[in-house]
Amino acid sequence: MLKKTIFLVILFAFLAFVYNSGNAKDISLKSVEKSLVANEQIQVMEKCNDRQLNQFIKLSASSFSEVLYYKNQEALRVDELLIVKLKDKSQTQIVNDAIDERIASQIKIFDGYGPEQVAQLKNAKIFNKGNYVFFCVSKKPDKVAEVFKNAI
Amino acid sequence: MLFSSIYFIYYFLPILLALYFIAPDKYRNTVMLIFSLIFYSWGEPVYVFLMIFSAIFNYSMAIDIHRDSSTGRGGRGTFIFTVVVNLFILGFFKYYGFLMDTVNGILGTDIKYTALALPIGISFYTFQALSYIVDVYRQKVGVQKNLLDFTLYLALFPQLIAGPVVQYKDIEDQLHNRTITLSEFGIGAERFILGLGKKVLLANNFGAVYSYVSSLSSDDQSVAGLWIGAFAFTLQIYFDFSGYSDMAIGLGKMFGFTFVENFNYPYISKSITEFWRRWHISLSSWFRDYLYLPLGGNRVRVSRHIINLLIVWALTGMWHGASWNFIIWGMYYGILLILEKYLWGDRINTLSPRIQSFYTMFFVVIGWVIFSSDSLNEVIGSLQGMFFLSGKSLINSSALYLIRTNLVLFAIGILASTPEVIKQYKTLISRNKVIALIMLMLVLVLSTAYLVYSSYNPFLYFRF
Repeated sequence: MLKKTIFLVILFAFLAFVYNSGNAKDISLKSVEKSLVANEQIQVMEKCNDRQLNQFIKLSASSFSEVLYYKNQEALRVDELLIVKLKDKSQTQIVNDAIDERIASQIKIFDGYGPEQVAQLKNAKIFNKGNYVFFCVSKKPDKVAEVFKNAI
Repeated sequence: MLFSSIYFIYYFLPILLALYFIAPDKYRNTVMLIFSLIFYSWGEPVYVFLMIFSAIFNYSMAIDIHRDSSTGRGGRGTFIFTVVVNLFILGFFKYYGFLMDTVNGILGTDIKYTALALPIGISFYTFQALSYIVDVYRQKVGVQKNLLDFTLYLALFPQLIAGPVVQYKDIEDQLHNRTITLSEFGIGAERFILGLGKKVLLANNFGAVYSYVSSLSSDDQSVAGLWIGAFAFTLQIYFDFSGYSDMAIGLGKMFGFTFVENFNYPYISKSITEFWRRWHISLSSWFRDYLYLPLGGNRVRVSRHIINLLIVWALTGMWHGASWNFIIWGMYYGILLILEKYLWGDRINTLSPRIQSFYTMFFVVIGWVIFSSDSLNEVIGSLQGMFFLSGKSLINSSALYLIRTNLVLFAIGILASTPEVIKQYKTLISRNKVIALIMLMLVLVLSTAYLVYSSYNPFLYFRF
């Protein structure tokens, strides 16, 4: 019985550690980007600079370790990909709030005449993994998320 | 680490081979285990501890189960405890997010949770551990008293990430008693290169076709285009997974291990029942031995047999992923197998081989549409499109472009999914070994070239 208890204690301690750490490796976004750009969903987007990040997402790239931002430049397309590597986890809320605001403002723009765009925005993939925040609006955001998860 | 990566082929493997063959026999398992752990921790620096925990836990519990069984105390309690803990670990990592999403969806709540990365290979090594525990409990295998050997059984790198699901009874002797001849080493290396070619030259290219079709906007899709995408995924998943299995089996052979075969040309099957005897054989065998037969198999009333099949296939679907489309995919096959068994199986047998093949492939392709989709809506949308139910044109310029640019690829893929190519290759070897060797080197060089210039291309089955 003691042995079983020890195993359970070790297991739960490990699970608690993994759950709280998020278990993401510290990988440069450059190497993640290499995997992502091969994806068809990303190929319809173009890489944006820090100014565009600030313009569309209202985030300053210099506040974070690294930022990767791709966006479809066509006015009627809502595809975009944002990956932020945080300096520390306390920044998570800032980024999540910015993403929520971005989605809300995009939905507001397309509501009424762009049902496909609104559906894509509502189906946006957002999650945190370790020190990364991932946000993607595309036809298949899950596929992009999968590439990202595999890359890190 | 991927088998199909430059780092594995040109650094990891040569160094391991050198050290393995230099090392005295008694240290070879140690070398293999160290390298297996390095291989795993390459992609899973944290989760390697989970695997080591799983090894120590199952090793220790099996000893207790064996001791209790031998002393007449049965060991049932420890057995149940061990099975529950294994399933809990698998469930926590694989199904926790799915469960929370389902709860949020049903109750309309917004309970926040952290989605954890799935430890690579957890479904495979957990099933291997379970097969060992069940067999020890049933006293079908002896208990492994060497922790290093047992950890090696779970962590053996060729089959660690995506199988085949090796059962302990199949490998027990090989853990401490295996011989490697130059000839077997050569056969293993040949199998590895052919598997690499399947993955890099065929699967990845079919994957590119499938990605192209998937990324087309609704306006650019056509019925023909959707069918081309479905065929592309059908061939991609076969060459991807059977290529991986070939590499795993080949690598095993190079180190003296003989793993069970995982594929036997499934796309030449004449029925769905036959398809599942040829596809992912090691997983089907696992479910047969450790779930279907204990439930009573087919030696029960018809109604009970139908329930057994549905349970087994729902769980087979769930094993593939925490998503409703996988469960539906499993049930889809469960229902088809029930229909073949009780309704139209005999009639299928009377049809001509061509119609049998068409019937099988039709349902298999539809099955992959369900499997490859991200959501139920996508499944429905794709199927409606494929069957003229969403007003799409029969063919358009995108589909014509796909046909024009990929006709040769599809022809090669269809041919390579039959035994004919290997048959011709073996005939060639028997006649002229030099040409066969040149062909093999060509596959290796071409695959390397593709790897150098292509991006990260993980195996589809890594996510299971």
